[in-house]
Amino acid sequence: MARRSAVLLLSSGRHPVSGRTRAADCDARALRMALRLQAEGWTLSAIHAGRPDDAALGQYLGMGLPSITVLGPMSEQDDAVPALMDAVSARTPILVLCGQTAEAGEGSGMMPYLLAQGLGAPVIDNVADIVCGGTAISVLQAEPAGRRRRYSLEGPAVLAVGSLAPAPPPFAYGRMRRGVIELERRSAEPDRDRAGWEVMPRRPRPARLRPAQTSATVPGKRALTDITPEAAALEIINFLKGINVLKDVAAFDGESRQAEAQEAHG
Amino acid sequence: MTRPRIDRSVEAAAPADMSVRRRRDNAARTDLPLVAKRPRLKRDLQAMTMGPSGARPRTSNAAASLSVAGPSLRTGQRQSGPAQASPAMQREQNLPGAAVIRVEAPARYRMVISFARQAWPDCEQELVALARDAEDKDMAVVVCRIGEAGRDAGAAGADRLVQVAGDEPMRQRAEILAACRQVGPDRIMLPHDKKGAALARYLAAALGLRPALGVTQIRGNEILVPTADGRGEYRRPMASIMSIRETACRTIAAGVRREARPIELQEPAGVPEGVTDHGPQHSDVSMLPLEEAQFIISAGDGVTDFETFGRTARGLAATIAGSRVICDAGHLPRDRQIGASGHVARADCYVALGISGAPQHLEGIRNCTHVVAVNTDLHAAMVERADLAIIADAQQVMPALLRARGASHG
Repeated sequence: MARRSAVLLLSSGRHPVSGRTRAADCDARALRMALRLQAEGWTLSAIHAGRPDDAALGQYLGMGLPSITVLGPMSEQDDAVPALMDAVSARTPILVLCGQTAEAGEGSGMMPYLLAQGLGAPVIDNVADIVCGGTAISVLQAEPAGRRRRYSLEGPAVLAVGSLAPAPPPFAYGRMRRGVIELERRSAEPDRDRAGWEVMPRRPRPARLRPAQTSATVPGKRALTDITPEAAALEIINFLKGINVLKDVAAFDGESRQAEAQEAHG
Repeated sequence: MTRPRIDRSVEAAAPADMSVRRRRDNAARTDLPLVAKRPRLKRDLQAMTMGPSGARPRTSNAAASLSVAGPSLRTGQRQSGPAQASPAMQREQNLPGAAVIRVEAPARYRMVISFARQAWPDCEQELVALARDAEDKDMAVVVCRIGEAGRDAGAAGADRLVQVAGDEPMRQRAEILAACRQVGPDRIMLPHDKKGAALARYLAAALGLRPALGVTQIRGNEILVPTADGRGEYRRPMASIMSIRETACRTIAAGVRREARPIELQEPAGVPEGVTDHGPQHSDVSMLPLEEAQFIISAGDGVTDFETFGRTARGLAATIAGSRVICDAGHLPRDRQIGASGHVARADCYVALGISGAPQHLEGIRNCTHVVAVNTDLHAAMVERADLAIIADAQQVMPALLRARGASHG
């Protein structure tokens, strides 16, 4: 790849408990990946669409970014995607890094997808790590049960970094003081659809009650006393097979068992 | 800010007829080819995605088509006629073995996308019921299923079924997008988990629609969607693409069977360019972060031989964890601790070896689906919590587990 450049998109985060403005968690994890790319010789530009006096920006600078470009000023009610699209496509990056979802506003997580649609690039979500070896770029995507799926990139891509990526870099006050915030003036249209929606306080909903499972392979609660270790081990393994937890069920005693377990489960 | 009030009239109008009506025309009995007929009405979505070549001229009825903003409630328009039956009557007619309901030429399609591994029990069935809520007999629900599931889609209420292979996410996306373009549903519903939400975003971006992600409640024609900070909820009109949380669904009694006629994709989906999928990277799960683990084996004070414990965990392909006592004693690192002061696990199965079950520990496994306990004390709290409790010495059960595992391997 000729020009190794990356764009990092940062949003203003909110603490989940206190609601205080902070660096958004996933964005900060993306920042760590971006800094590693920068250390490997990539050109990096960090972009935030919003207000230049946002408290979150200082925290991002304190994590090691030399400068942040702010597109705006725009408010939380404005649609940031057109401005971001302009700014990103002007920089013609190979990688666009951002957090999975915003922590303020609608938080639909659509921004990376809309951006990718506009740039004609694929989007990979829930990114856990980037591995750069020479010219090849590999991306690891987090999947359930700790699995990681590896993709190799041949062209530009948008990477939405998830919460299973390595932890954000530590904050340093001096770095925050030295960091520079540049304002790139852009006008933004208010998000008309969203303006029409009414916001009401969230009402916690009770968990749904379910009837107890009565299935052949998942029996009710059982306590077995006076049992030999061998019999106990067999009981445990049969139970694990019954709930489809043991990986190589088929290797145990034929596929009929697996089909049976699946039927009872489905 | 004034407290928002809910328009009762909207709510009352919505479930005008939620019962399932049996189609009584002769078309149901004739054998038609397995190709989905073109819908009579063109939906906005279809017109948008299929282009003019595939679209028949719009009738005046098209004005009543579902817009991006939400469906129009056509109560009174299609409610009359002999096809209507009371829900009680329906239930009597639809005993097991009764005929399957067929919708031959639906005027509209709704799509429910589900995964082989369900986001919550009966998720597919509940979403289908939700998609069918504003019932009319000219609508067919297409279930788009990702991965092979041993479930009966017809029993879940699917009129049509699109089966998508479950291994490559990028190809999956492309295939589902192709299915959406072919079928042209007026509304797409997905379960709101990581995969479902990601797919909803992709489809919404590709189809140029604004989705609603994480719907917590559906009230007639309106939906509630939490804001990003989780403190508020947007009350907004129904969207064409929605990912639904469990709270928006109701428990559905197994109802009328439908045919679940398979739909074949006409155009092969384009392979996504620029990315090569190398598949999942398998690694040792024994030291996985506990929040991610799906199968955990945990040691308590009843375990003294940690070498055997480690071998047992690897033999079962389980993630290692321990109680506070064990981590305090330095047998396991602190990041392996389960409990209120350690990690809160969300595993499918939790095997507790020699753990009595202090309240703080039980708090850490509150979200685990199945629990197996091995303990010498019949009256331990963990034994009460367990689905399978073995009253025996964990030290002796561990080698037996290894032996049983080794024997069944060879």
